[in-house]
Amino acid sequence: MSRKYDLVIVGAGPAGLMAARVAGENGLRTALLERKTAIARIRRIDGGILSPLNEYTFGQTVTFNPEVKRIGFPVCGFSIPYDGPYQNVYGFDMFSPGGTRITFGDREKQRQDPQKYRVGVSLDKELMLQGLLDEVEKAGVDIFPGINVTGIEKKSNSVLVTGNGEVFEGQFVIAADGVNSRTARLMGMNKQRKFFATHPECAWYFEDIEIPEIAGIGFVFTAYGNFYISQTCFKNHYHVGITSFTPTNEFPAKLNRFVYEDEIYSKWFKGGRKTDEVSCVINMLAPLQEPFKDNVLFIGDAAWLMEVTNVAAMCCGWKAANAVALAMIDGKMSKEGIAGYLEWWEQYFFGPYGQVEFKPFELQDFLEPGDIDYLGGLVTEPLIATMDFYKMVNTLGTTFGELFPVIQEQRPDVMERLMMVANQMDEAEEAAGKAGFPNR
Amino acid sequence: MVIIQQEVCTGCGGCIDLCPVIAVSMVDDRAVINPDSCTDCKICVKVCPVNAPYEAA
Repeated sequence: MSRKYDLVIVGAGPAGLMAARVAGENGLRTALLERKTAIARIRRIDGGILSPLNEYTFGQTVTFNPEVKRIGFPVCGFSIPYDGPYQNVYGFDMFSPGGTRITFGDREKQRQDPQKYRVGVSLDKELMLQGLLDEVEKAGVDIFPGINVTGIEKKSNSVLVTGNGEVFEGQFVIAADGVNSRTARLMGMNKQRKFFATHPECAWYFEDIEIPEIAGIGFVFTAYGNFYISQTCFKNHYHVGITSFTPTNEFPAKLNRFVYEDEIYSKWFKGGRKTDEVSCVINMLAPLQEPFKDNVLFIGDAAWLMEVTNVAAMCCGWKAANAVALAMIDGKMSKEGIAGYLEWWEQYFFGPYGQVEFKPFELQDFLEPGDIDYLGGLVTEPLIATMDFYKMVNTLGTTFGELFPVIQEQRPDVMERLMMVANQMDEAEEAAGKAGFPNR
Repeated sequence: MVIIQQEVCTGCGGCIDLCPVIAVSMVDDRAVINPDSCTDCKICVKVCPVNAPYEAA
């Protein structure tokens, strides 16, 4: 016997929770399935940063208003509750092995008028998800924690989702099960997607440390790995993590080296307390151009190369559930019924960002630590203030493009190695693909 | 046969997502291998960022 619903949502992250709230508010009989038991508890790497503020990514922006305890989404036209701690985020910083630095955002100017110049805020994401979950419950959605979805099947007039021996039947399914979406794989969506790399990360939580150099996320390139440090919503709390474009078992040892032994950077962590360890694996497959098959709509990270951001995920959930509500009203239980979502996805996500070139390579495979120090030291003025990864990469490309004549003049040897990066990108991509697991 | 050390596992779900035969599940917010469906391919061992899975004799 199956449980019958209008809509079955797989995954209770920001995208799935928002979809569930909107579906419930629109009167749809809705089931929300989640494999964790503690839905609002975050067991996976997450910086907890809410962006873009004062800029746009995927055509979206947010407003954060602690006075009224709400986060607003003015492009889509909804808001969510948030009554908790926060810290302003001003942008990215990049650090070389020897300590040279490139900064995105003019910190001095930004700190004079945070409302106007902050590009994000770090929040307690568990509190934000709990606020959403409370609203989902109020909206009358049936919530099923601890369900691992293992099967999905289209019937003539519905879709059957199975997990932990239970069967959930929906007119539509929204797959919001994240960047390595099992639903996408079970539905065969990954077969045509280009596979780039299996990208693991591991991070430690640190308390009682102060890193004034970081006002958002700092990326640190060392001779032995790529690290990042992100500012949480609590003063003197940071996450310090390591990333790679190939699976590796060396993360714990390398994090240990960075935090306790690195000549330049270990001083940031002196006297600090490690309080938790989190991780994630991002299997990078090209974004889905048409995130729909057999009445299953793939939203947020489930349809993307990597994480689309908290904000974009919630906007996807909002748009998708509204599209399903309209399909039900119009009596069009098909692709035609939810066409509004697919057009929106094309306009804001796939159209502008879906085919952006991505090359998984590690700078250290081509450049010496001293080369990276030299290049980091060339950019003395702050670059554009942003938390948008695409904007950051583009800005770096343009900035260094303009510096090529200087590099050629001062350091022809570095220029030669930089050219090598350009020439060997395809080989690096192939190598990363071979070392990973496509998940098809 | 591979076993996931529950006290090391962070519950990130990476191995659950990448297991080619869906032998790994989230049980009480940690990853657990079902020995009946596991084919011993060891992808979980290779992808785990915190080295929680290990090969038992």
